[in-house]
Amino acid sequence: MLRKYSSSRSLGDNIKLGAMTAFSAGMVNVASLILFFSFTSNVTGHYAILAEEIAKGNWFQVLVVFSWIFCFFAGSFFSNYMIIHGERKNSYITHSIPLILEMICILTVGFYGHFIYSETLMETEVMVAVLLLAMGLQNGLTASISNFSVKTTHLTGLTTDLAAHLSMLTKKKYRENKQVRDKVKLLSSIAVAYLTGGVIAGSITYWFEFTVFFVIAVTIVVVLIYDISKIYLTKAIRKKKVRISVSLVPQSGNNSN
Amino acid sequence: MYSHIILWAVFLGMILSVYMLSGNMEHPEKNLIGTWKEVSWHYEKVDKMEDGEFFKKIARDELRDEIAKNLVIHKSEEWTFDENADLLLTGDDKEDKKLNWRLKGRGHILKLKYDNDKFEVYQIRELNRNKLVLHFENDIHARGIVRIEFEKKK
Repeated sequence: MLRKYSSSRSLGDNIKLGAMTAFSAGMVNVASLILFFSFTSNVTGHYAILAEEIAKGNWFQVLVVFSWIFCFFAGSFFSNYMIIHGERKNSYITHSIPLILEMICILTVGFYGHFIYSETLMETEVMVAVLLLAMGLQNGLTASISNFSVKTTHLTGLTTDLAAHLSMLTKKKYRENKQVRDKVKLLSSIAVAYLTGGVIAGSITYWFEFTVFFVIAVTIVVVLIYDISKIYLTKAIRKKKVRISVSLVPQSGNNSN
Repeated sequence: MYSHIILWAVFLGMILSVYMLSGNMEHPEKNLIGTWKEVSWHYEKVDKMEDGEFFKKIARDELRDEIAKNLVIHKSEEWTFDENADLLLTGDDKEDKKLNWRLKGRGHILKLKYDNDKFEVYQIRELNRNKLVLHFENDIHARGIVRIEFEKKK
């Protein structure tokens, strides 16, 4: 899911990465809406709010919303910065760093919210900013390593692309095109995963409150350990195969004795 | 190498600017603290608007009572917000009520908590040193939005 880069990624790699991260993004967005009354994975709305607050002359709100957009920008910037400056040989480590940082951000919000949060406006604004930073890190990572074909928090663009690709399927020429069909599969799996994450978060946040962020962190851990487990599993299977093939080879040395 | 330094300096500069600017601005929590007197209630009927007017002033006390009867703010006339997040609701013919208040979102949501786990949410449409305007959704008779206007007591 994380090791491969750009064109070396298969459709399966992108679907797994897209679905898992979109699931966590959906959860984060709905949980933050319930707990903070603010979205944290879609920035389009924040641009509209920024414009509205500028028009009204509410400069404190302008600064808050601008900071939120900047946090998302900084997260996305840092992810891509890490990937393009990181070591190619050890792509797993390079690609894991943004996700580890995202997990730290989400866990920080979970711990702070559960143990310290006294619901002041300042705390709310900072925690929303931290979650936007986390979503920026995630979206930047998935977009960068998939050659910008996977965007897990960008549902406006995703819905547009999905609609365009679905309309293409009405023509036989495009229906037979594997790339178009693959794109539909990828986009629809991201949309379904995002919605599923949102529904689950919407159902459990009232009971779990801030501990819902620990559940979200677990989904990111799954993304992180998937590649490691696959590497170890492949190595273990290969070792076993070698052992079996060695035991099946006729041992000529014994016969000669 | 220089491009990296410039870039990180720009990031740091942005963070510092936001931090410094935030200290010099009117903070919604600070503006809210104090005693607010209800001036008027307006009711916007989304399903059917009369005379093309967007908001109708609620003149009849019965309608106002009916709209507010299930709300914690029912029959309160003065709202006193204090720094410890306590809100005291006072009215002429009712007992005073003590609630907990918090601002959410970017300071555009007023959350009132009472009886431990119950809460009501109001949208702040306008808040400055002298004026507070709250909106809330209501579905009495027909779907609509209620606007309550306050002015600050000196």
